[in-house]
Amino acid sequence: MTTASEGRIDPITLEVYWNRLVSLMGETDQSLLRMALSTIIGESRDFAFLLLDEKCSALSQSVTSLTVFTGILPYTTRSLLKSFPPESLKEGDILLTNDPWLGAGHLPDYCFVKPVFMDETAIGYLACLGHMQDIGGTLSYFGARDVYEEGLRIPPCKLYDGGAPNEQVLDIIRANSRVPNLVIGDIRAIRAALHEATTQLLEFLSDYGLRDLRAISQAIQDRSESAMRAVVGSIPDGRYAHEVSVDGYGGAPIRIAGSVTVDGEKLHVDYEGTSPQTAVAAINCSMNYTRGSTLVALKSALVPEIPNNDGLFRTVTVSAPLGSILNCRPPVAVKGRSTVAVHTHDVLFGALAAAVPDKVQAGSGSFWSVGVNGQYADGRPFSASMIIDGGMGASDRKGGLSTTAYPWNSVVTPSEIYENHAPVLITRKELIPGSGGRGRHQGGMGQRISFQTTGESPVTFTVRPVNTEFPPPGLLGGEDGSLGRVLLNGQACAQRLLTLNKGEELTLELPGGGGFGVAAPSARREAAE
Amino acid sequence: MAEARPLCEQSHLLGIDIGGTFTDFVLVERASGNVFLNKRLTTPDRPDVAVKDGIRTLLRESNIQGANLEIVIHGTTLITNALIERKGARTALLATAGHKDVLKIGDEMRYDTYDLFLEKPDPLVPAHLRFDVPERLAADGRVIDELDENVLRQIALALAEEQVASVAVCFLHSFSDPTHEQRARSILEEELPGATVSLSSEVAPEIREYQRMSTTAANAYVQPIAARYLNRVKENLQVEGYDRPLFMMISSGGIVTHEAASRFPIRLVESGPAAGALASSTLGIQAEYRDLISFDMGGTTAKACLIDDGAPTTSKQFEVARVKRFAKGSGLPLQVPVIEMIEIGAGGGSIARVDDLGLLKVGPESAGSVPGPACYGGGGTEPTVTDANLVLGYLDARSFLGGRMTLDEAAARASLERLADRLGVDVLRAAQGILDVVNTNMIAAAKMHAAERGRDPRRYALMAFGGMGPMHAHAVARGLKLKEIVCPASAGVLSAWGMLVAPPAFEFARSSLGPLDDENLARVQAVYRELEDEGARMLRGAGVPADEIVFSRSVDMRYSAQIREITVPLPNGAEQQTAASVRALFLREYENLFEHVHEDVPIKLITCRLTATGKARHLPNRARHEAGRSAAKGHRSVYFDTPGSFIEAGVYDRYRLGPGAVIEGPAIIEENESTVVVPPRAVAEVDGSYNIVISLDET
Repeated sequence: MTTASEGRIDPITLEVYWNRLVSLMGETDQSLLRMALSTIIGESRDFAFLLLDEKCSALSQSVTSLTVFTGILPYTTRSLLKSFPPESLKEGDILLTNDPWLGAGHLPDYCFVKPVFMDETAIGYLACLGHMQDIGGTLSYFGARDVYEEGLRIPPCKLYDGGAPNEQVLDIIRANSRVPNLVIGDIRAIRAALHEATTQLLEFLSDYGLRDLRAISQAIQDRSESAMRAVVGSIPDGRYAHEVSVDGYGGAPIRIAGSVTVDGEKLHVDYEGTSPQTAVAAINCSMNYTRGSTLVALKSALVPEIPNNDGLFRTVTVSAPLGSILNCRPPVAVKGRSTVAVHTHDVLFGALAAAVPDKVQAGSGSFWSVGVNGQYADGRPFSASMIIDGGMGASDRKGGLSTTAYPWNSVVTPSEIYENHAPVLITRKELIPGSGGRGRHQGGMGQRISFQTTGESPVTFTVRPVNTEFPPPGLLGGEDGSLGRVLLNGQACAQRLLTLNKGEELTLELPGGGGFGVAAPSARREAAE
Repeated sequence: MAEARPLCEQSHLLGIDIGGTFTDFVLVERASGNVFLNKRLTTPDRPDVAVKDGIRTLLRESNIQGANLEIVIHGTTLITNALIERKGARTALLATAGHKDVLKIGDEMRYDTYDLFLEKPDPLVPAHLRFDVPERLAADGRVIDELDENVLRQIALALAEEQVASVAVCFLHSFSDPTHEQRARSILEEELPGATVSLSSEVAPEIREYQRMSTTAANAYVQPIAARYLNRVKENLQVEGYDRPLFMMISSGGIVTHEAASRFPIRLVESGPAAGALASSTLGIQAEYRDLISFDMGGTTAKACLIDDGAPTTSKQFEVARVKRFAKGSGLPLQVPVIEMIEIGAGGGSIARVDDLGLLKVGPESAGSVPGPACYGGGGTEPTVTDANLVLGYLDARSFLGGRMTLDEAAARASLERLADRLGVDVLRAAQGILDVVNTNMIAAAKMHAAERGRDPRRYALMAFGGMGPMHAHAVARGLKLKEIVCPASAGVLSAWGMLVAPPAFEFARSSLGPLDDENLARVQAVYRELEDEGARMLRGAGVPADEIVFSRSVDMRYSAQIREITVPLPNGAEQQTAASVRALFLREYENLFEHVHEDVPIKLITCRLTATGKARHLPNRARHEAGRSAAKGHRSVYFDTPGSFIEAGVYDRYRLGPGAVIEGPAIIEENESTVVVPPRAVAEVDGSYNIVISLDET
């Protein structure tokens, strides 16, 4: 058998190794799912693990783990290693930051990096990004005026030193969270999962007599690069541009403009023309996050079946003007950045539709969230959150799925669970017939969900809507999906941080997806399935 | 129903297992252990036809009267097929006002993150048959809105107009208080006579409304056809003189009377594979292997099940009718207790190909039986796992299926050559590569499954069966770092045999949420007593004497802030338990699973679970055995990964190997339906139950 240490790995051995590395990351996901304390990780699965080689290139993720992190964690890891050079690290160290410009674009996303040693040499890194349930700061998604109001910001630090917890940092985290047990519990769970992943990785290497990840990493990335080059090479050369207007969350509407330039086997995405960063709402994206979001769209459209790794994106470059809302400068507020970043898909798919209409889809109305906080009458705190979705856009091949997460992926919290976690009643959760945009194929349906407060004490709701000013766009003649709406006691409501007293009702209407292609003249909006 | 007669007068046991291609019949004479077999082609549109003909033929041929049957146990794919093919009854759904669309909205997740074009299963009940019913309970079971009976009666009229045959009722938090659902049933029985009604508080009284609703809808959807089918089988048996209860195999590994099965037909899904796993665990206990990975590899798929301390692991959820094969999350979720199994597209017919990256992939596409692997000579040209096994010498062209079919080695080699060219390797490397890849797929799936369960696979032995299982077992075992492999005798009818050793048993569950304290524990004890009454009623109805019924309690708990629940067995003497002692049990189980605990976090009780079990029948597994002549058939060259070349291996006839026989690897042991591979430096020994036990080396 050809082994990695001999250099070139044959296609059979590589298949076996690669399969093992991807499934190993899946096992790691499973161990965190079992151990996590919070709903955001345990139920909404807002986390990712990534294996990086010794040069910090992304090597493998689980099959369900998002490409957005392929575009982020390698950069985060390199940033952490600037503060803590590899030669200074030892077994049992875990590095941490939640800096939006080094990590995933907002403070709740804690990025952990654990070096993996073989014979006292760092042969790679295991990284984890986990969304903490609460990290202090304002409860509003959009209300912070700058990043300082958004909670605790942790510069690169060593959270575990040779296996010993940095109690001071943990104490600071604990002291800055409304639900310290959940956050500390999740951090411990992540640490345990990273430890387990390390053990499994070393066992894999020893099973096959390997001393490092170099040859495997090169083989995986080279093959992935070739595949991506072939796909990009098949797209006619040219510059494909598109732009969309998106919600300003209290400020002026925002323009996301982008172009995809295909030059042979190279692809460049540029967001020149995009609106400047804003001080009105916490919706600014750091470059890390913009890049990650962009790669998700490109991966889904061009190479959906190849497991995530940096090789896929060696010939892909992404740029956005510094100071724009897609490449913001500190210290603007960033908490709700994903509500803007989801629209990079509308722009990229809109642009690519001119070249490869069969590979893209119309706009989706997904990725809302609603969180509740407060105290029960006896003083105990409660906190629960739910990511909830509208309809997906239609495509050349089919209608859009109703009420399905896109582009991010998550499981909605069951109403019965939500009601057990907080004194609220979900009085309706129903489809909105006709909400999907018409077209040759129709967009998926959105949904209407209502919350009532049942306890004597008031409940704070934090709502993160998308597409309330501009609907999910249709594509190639397909109509737009419906607009999203937020209603307080039946009246349209511009607030996103609300306090509801007993009996008051908050209703969210999530948009339907955009239609694809021109509808036949007689087509009516489909009724609910 | 009447108490069944004592069991001693009857002398024979009959097991009937409907599979995709064949319906298997196993008749065992209890005293001698003698086995009579029959096989009929399954009659998909009317499965009872093959069952009726097969029973009649088998009874005639074995000269046994229906009245001499002690018990008839049946497992059927009818329910699964009705859900896959959407051939169930016209079904309506009644939900708490504002929540009727939950069935369609689902969990909102995509099972494939990158597929822009993925499909999700359509709900079993279309929009126009889903109805909102004014009523509401709070999370603690308090009534917020009373059931509006007038609206319900109007809906019933609409249902009659729509000619609805079955109704699913699923109200929010109904597991806390089923009164509204029960009242709804009474009204439906008045207004819609003839329709069957499934209540979520009976079918799946567990928290998580989408999963409970999906389960209840599925139960309602198959209830009318299940009832018709079971009655027909029962009548056919009566014609043959058998008037005792017909027992049905259920997915959790127990058997229930056909009356219970008619109420909860959704419990019958995937009962065939469950019986196979149960056979594994029973044979394992007999052979003193209590921790096993049951590994069943056939022509198209491989299935694996973890068996801990003699009991197959179970799951509280299952998924049926996946719209994308083998893709978890692409089916209809069911809150049904099942013997937990993973299934992947890896079998003898799995096709090898080179993907866009130039890598070798194997499966899930299968050549099936038509055209079949290239070596079948049926027109297949694509290389499969079976072709690789033939070229490498694991299979013999002349002794396949006991010599009933001759394999075309040249065709196999030709198919592999084309693959090898594309990969830039030689034929042997391509063939061995196919095995490496398919074995890695199975190993990875088993490891992932163990990780989901928080188990270390290394503590298990491998119980290998199915046509390909004993051939691939050595590589799979090595990949999982297992040391022993058990290959049971009569592997071809293992599922039907498993039904005969299944105990009368049923699982009950009811969510009852609250902080773990003494007050709630008392409430939970009351829930258990109710479940025990229900269990006792059901098992006495199945003829189990009261003093033979064993109850085992477990409770799903979690940290109050956490979502994921763990199931904690409660030891007997539960009445004496305190919140402190149950907390200690939770912490111990949590630490077992996760290697750490949170001492300072409060704990919540979620769901009470109770299993009521009668006695399992003891039945030896009698192998066909032809004593006398030597088992050695000769030698052939077989390729082994280590050392990486062909070596001479002894070839043996399994039917001539008796207890105590020892065979050193490398060796091939052939039987009609399967081939056991004993790799170099491994030793195989036949035990007293005719199992072949292979001890792998330590390297």
